[in-house]
Amino acid sequence: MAKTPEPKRTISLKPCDGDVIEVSPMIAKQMQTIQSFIEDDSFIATTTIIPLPNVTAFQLSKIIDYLNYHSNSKAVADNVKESTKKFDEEFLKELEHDKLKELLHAANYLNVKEVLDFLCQAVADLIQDKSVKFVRKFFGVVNDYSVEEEEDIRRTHAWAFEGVEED
Amino acid sequence: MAATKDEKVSTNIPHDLVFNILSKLPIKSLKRFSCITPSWADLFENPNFMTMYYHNFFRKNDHDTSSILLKQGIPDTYKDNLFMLYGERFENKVKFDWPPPFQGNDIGCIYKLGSIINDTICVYPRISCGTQFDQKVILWNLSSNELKGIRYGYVPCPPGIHFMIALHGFGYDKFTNDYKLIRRIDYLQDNSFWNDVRVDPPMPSWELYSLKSNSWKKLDVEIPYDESYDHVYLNGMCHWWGCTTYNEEESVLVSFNLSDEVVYTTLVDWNGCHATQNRALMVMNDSIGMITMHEGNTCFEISILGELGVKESWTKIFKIGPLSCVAYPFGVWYKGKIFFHKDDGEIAWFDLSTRVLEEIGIKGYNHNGSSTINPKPISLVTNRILFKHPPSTPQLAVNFVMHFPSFPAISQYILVVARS
Repeated sequence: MAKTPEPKRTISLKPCDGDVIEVSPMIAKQMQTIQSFIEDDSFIATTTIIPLPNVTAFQLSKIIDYLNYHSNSKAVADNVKESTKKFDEEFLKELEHDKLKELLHAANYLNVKEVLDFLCQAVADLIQDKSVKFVRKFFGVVNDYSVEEEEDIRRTHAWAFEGVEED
Repeated sequence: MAATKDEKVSTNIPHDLVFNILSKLPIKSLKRFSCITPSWADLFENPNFMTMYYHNFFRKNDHDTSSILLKQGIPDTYKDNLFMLYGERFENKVKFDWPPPFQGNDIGCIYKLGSIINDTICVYPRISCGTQFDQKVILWNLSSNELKGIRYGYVPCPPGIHFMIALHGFGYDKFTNDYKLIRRIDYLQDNSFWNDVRVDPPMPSWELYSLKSNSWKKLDVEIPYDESYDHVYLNGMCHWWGCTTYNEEESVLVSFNLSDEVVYTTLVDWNGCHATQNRALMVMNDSIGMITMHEGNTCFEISILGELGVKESWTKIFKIGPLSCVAYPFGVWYKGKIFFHKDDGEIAWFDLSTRVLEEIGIKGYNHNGSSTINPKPISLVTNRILFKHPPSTPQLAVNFVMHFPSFPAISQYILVVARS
């Protein structure tokens, strides 16, 4: 629209589905994978659209939401902590187990440490009181213990199997 | 078919992410998940996992700036100086005053009981044995500087008998919003030749004080105890070490729940560390932790308790050493640092992440002026509190170390302080 061309201030990211999403350099910087794109000589801010074949629009916008919120609320005041906690709870609320895992993959692909750490903690909180069966299924781990071996471990740590949540 | 589909979705969480997730789990979950696959079985032996585990462990109170509040005995007196040390290496020192109840000339050593709770520490002058006490236990709110005095009250005592009081716990009952103290009363025979009637002294009794009702009530329980005087408060419970009555060799962690008054005991294996001064009880990231000295007192091990009442749930998470010239642990855990008393009396901290031992430049003086430091440890407290005193200092959060009442020879308190 403007006649004088202003330098473009956002980075264009193209998820595997949906439209291009523009993010501020501040946010993009926190995604290591994007950062290495930007640092590449062939990168031209005005024209380059960074393709993200492993990330959906939903996942990308979730991650951007998280980074946006948290970069604006670094203060340690109690009321800020309280609203951050609320944001984090809401953020996780809309994620079913599979979505959570997929988002973890996306955050891992984009290599965004803050989100990765947050999601790992979320998974840890989720599985903390769960059964062995639940966790095996969640991580897709194949049981390579023999029945006797597993029984033996269960006996040794019998106390750790008390108070386990229903799957 | 459905199962295969599920598996497909579930696979491929990269290995380092799985470890990252596991490293954030409590011990109980990790022990349970050790039967998921052999590679998850010995995580505490796995250096890659431990690196991540430590990283999380130290990160818990990352943004606090640590300081120390130090009570230092004045040589040849029974008086104490109180200093606050802060800064990255505790290099800044501020001296400040004891509150009025502790300023009199007749006040000797001052002790602290248990942890700091809601900015409040529990301090008291040395208790002498007798049949009545005029002294008080003081609850000192370090943030508001408000003081509350608690009387020992009247303890009925048969003729020919006197008693001794040992304080065991200071805690907070969040359900009734009430501060509580636990004490043990030992009855002893008067050692007098003029005493014609020899009476058998009653068994020790236990009493619970409630600040709300401002009274002591008798607890109808037998609770183990020993002479180590390590007391900590965590999550509604007061904890201390004890020996079981049926087997004095058998040590337990005693955990007293302040709201339902139930006593839990957890067997402890000292692993050869039998001298009470060589071990310490502490709160580490919301868990009960213990530090024990081994191998000619040069190496230390730190274990945390996974589940109350379960001996097997003590899990060794750190092995430190060999360190030279270290005498005994204070047991203060603060921001990845453990505090030690050195052979020469210097106080030093050991950074568990960098594995560096550094002196803080303060000597632990001993009250009777002799050069030997009685190696009886100081029990410690690890809750952080806000600290508005002295006024020139910004708000600080504090950890306190307390002293063993029966050993006036050492008089070193450490409070670890953190700016909030």
